[in-house]
Amino acid sequence: MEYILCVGDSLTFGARDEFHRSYPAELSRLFHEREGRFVYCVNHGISGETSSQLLRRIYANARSCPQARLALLLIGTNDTWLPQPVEIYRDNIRQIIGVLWEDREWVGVGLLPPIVGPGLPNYPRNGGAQVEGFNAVLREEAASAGCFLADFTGLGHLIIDTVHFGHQGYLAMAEIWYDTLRKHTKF
Amino acid sequence: MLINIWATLVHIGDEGFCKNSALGPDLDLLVCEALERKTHGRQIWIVNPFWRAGATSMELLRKSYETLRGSGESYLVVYTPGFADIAAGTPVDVAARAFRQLCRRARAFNKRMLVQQLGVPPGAPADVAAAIVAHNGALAEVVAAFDGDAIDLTAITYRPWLARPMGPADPGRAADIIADAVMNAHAQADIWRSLHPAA
Repeated sequence: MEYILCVGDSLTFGARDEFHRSYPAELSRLFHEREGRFVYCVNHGISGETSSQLLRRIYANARSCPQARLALLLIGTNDTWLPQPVEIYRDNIRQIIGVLWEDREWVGVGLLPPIVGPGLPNYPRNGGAQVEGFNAVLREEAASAGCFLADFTGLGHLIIDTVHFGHQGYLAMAEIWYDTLRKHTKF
Repeated sequence: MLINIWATLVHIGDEGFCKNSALGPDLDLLVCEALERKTHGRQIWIVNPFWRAGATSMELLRKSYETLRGSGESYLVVYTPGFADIAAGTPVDVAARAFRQLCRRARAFNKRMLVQQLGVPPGAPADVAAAIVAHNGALAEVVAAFDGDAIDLTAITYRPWLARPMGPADPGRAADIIADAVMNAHAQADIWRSLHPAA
């Protein structure tokens, strides 16, 4: 069996998926269907967490699966409602990526999907602008650390409650992760 | 179709404003239906009502704490004291101070506030009309400081003024405007509308 380490917030956990699935579960399925491999994606997504909270647990999460050669990171949506100063967000991302590189051959970073529409009015109405700022940080930090980028910014039409996806959205996320890591890694 | 998303609004208001009649649909039923239409049936909307008959803003402030504290699943408050303060003669600064405390509580419990802006009912004397305008301005100023929104109900028609709390002549129209305000309280509502045009 092979492993992929997936860390993040509710978008990694799979919140609001009608069938209680998640992108890590769907990514495992894609490896089975397309390559006949049993790749288990370890889901370390915790709903509601910010990058600062992920930083606190990232070492334990990374050590939980040292045999995973690949790690995938998606975090920042909940930083918008603090709102998190962009430089703190940048430092969180830098440290998290640094820990993820330990013992790993590839690290993927996901760009945040938009914050859009009804459901959770506690997310700020300028969340779109904040997401753009955080995505700029993710691009820079990923480039500087040698990570590959997966782009979820075009999935706004699949968001069902301001920030979360339904099952169709998590299927689309898994497809994007799969295509991106196939293009940028030899996993 | 499986619908697994839902949202709760807390509605703090005057019963005379919200309750249409003994047998007719009340404002909250109409708001839920309007929101259901505006989200194309994709989402379940629930209103947690806190209405009191003839309740002034001070009374709503005194008695609404348990509802605000106990609705952790809700991120939005709609505040419609209606004409209760006007009929009772509540000074505008008292109404504004009470509302400001409500806004602070809403923030403590992670909720955005939406507040009414009333029109003048037919038959209302000049001093009542002036009081309505003054209350509107004070409430709008407070809510803006808390990143909330005013709900513009100034152009709808109301039942004739009888010097007691009362409501809109067409609650369906009021509900439609409130539902639009709820939609606009969310991030990038216009983008969402363009991504999900009505069928």
